[in-house]
Amino acid sequence: MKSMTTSHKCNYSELLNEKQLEAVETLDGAMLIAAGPGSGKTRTIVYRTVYMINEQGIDPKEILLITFTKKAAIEMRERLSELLDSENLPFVGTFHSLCLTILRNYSFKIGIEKNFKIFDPTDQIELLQEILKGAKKKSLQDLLKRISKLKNDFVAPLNAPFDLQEVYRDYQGALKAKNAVDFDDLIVKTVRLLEKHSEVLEILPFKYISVDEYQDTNKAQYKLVKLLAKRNGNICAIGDSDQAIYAFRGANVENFLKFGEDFKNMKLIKLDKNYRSTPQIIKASEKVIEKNEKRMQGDLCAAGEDGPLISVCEANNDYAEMDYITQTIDLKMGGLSRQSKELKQIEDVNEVRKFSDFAVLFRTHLQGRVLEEAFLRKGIPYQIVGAIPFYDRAEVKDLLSYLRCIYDPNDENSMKRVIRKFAKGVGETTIEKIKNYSIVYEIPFYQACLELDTISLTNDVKKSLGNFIKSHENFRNFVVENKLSDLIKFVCEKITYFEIYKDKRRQDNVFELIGYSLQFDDLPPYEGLKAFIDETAMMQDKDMYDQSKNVVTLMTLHASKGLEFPIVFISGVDDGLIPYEFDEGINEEEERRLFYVGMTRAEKELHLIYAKERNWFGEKTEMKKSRFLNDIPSDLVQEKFQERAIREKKKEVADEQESMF
Amino acid sequence: MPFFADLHIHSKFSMATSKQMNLESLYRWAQLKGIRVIGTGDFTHPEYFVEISDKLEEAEPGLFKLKKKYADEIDKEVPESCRAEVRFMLSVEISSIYSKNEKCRKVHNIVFAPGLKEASKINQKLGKIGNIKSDGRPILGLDSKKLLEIILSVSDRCYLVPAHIWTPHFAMLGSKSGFDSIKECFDELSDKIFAVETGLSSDPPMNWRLSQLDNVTLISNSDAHSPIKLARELNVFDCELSYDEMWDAIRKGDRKRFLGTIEFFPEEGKYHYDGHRVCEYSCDPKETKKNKGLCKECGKPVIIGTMHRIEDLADRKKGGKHDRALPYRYSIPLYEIISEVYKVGVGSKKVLNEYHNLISQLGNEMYILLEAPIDDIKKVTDLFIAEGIQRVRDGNVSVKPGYDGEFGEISIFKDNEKYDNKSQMQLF
Repeated sequence: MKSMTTSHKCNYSELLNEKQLEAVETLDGAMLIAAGPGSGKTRTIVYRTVYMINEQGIDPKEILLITFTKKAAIEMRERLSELLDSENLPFVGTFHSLCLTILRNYSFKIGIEKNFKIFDPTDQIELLQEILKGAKKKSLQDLLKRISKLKNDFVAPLNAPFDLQEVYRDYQGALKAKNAVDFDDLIVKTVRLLEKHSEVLEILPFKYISVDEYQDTNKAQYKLVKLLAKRNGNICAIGDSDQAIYAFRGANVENFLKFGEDFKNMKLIKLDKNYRSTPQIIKASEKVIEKNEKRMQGDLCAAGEDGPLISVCEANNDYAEMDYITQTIDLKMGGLSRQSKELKQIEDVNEVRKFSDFAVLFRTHLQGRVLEEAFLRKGIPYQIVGAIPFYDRAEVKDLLSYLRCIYDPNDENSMKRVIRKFAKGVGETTIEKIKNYSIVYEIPFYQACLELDTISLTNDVKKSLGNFIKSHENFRNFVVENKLSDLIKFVCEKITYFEIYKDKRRQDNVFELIGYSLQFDDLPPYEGLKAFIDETAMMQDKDMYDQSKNVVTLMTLHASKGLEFPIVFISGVDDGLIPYEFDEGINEEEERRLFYVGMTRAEKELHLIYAKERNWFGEKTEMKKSRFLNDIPSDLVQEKFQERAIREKKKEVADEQESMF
Repeated sequence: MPFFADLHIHSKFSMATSKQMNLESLYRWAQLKGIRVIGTGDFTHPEYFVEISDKLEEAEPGLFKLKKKYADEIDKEVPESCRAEVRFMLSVEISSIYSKNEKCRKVHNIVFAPGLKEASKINQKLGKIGNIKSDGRPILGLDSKKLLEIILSVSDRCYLVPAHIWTPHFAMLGSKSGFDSIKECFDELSDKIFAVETGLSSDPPMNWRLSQLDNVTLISNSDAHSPIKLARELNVFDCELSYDEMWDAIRKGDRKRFLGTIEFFPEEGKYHYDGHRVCEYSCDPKETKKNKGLCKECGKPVIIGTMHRIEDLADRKKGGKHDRALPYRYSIPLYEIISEVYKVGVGSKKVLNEYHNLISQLGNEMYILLEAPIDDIKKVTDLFIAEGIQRVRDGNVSVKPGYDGEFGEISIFKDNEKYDNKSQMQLF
């Protein structure tokens, strides 16, 4: 009798195709797996890991799997725990989580305290704000991007462009003073550590290393991989030169292309059988990508059955483009409401569709907002990936901050936010003066606000702050006698909230928030307020793609990587958008890859839409169809046209007559 | 005192509805029509919900009234003959579009909440799942059963009633994207479904033919999108005015407290017969079967109407009935009767003037249609109209059945009974 584990024994040759199997069984030395879209990449990595542990008896601790995103790591771990002992899995994580683990143990060797803090982008901005007082947030974000690029390229402040030297140095100094590192530091510092202290490299347990999405590694990550592989040379890089789309973040597809130079005698395995899409979609995508020069991939072929032609739709303008998308969804769903034209078309829909079968992809976030509008208007359920979550929206946050101040005037952060926003003419300088006063006299910030007369401020500012304090006290009195929802309505009215936020969609969010507060109306006033504040603080809705939701997904081409949907629309396939024309020109190869990534997300149907005219930054702009569309052979294409539908009037309604009563 | 309740309506925040569908005009029209308890509709809509919380206050447990300062304004516009107290019940219709057992399902359900707190919680939960802001009747990719679970998790005093269960496209038992039984739709939670809405295109006798509906109470509402259409179907109660009492009466199908329903002639509904609207082709189920379900004009499958669908699922013969069956009564909206007599559109000035004349002199519409002595009616209006009302009361009308979204056409008078302004007495 064999042990229990035999029940998990896999028949690899049945589960994998020939090339996948070859990759699974190659463990020693350097290997590059060039995996086209939908070619079973994750499957191959998973079974390779299972093979190492179950067949070769390799200790899971010796295996390191680096993924590109946290989400990918979680999914990989889930797949592995189905096949392996979930208590004893290899290290699966991103570059950041790996580096964090290493630094937590050895950072002292390069002079970083063990309990260092990690600064996320919000912390980084705040830090820069302290360094450059009064700078605009947008400019700080740009600054951070540039500093980040320098750090990843191992450029020291001294060698930075002249205008950055000082702030870069001060920023690093401030991080150090606060015993903090940022995300870039995690990797850069780890590389430093391993370069200087090779003994650490020796202690690390990893003997079998695999790195996913290798084409998207930047210089620092690339260096780290080379260091880690130095030990025994068992390195497996997986990726697709055609799906390298992160150049703007400093990734370099060259890392992938010159893998063979870095690791001599490497083995190259090409996974070129696509199990995701129809032959039509694959052929069209291949025709688009083969114009690129920087690539390694061969011809991808589709394993699946024939499907419909690629729909290429010329829309009169961007509204017509939205109509095409929403009407097609309506039609494929067999009509969503009695107002649907599709119900009148008496066509029977063959496929059973659900909302989550559809994705709409686009190049820029701005397009996403226009699309969202169209989905709202039609009432089609959707999620927009990368949108600002409800509780992070300014109109929601501001109001909640106000309520927090009313509950507790000594909630200093909220008080500052509210004063900045609602006390007219009161800015950072004033807030700082009050803050200093409160420090000197050792009183709470709010108390300092009440002692305005003794702080040196202009009369205008005093008056404005005085009014603010007065209405604030007024609200605090109002709480005692009234229901929570009435308090919120009262606040909105008094601070003319709907004048500040005129946009209908923002107002709807405020209504939604007020609506939620109603469930606390029966609690005693302060308790209700407290309960509401606590409840909303707990609310965390994600901006990530949520597979479990039965809704249409709207997202950028970048965000779509790694996902798949039965029906995909790519909107805005216009020159200038796809390829995107930056101020500094077009990176055509990168843009072509991005379009290729989008096309290969589709399993059954692909719809490419361009508009002859669109609103672009508030101006009507003539557009031309994307040059990439010319690369798709016409025998794979079904051309369509969409004119702007006349906005549907409210029907079946007897408004006019009723007004007579 | 018996009273009428219309529990499924839509506000102006739903798509394709009248701008007039706001709390004030609902309050006014409920009085003109004779409705005592009216659904708010659309309570998931954030802006409407805030409006509800502003303008309504709880009057009896679970029932709300328009605050005095708003009501006073409206009362001036209501003829004294119609003035009455009006109560609101929190309600919303949800369109669930999802797939189950390998089929695309589109089911409309009405949800009721006993208070603002419960409604608020439901809104919060549904808001997380989908978008409740753009349509007062939100479309969610949410399984009906899951919806039921959600509202029950908020309170066991929240109820779900499948809406107009027989319409082909958007109903629990609809032919196009519905189920074959309550059980198939709600599984182990089926016993939480104790009432269903029959919709305009079916009447209680049609529903009695399915033994699977023996244990549910049939309710009827207008599903109005504009004020004039309110009360075209109604529920009649004779119980204490409170949310729990009304629901208890419905749940038990207690004929002492839930007296029954006022019904459209089912043929008048939009989906009674089979057919194709674009082909202007309609037929009764027998003919459809003879034609193998295909349209005679275009050869494609016809839209199967309620009569056919019920025939398919029925396990009792026509005329069959169970012990719990409750009384019902047919009626036709007053403006339709006037419209037929005058041979002008239902929305015309002439019809509306006469409608207004009748209700100001006699009382609300339901009183006129069901109770007012015909002699009284004759005194204030055309004899033809009085006669029309009498014939409707007697069920003495003929109807060309509706199909595929097309309303049926009612005729009270025969072609030779022409109305002539100068010789009104020709009728007799």
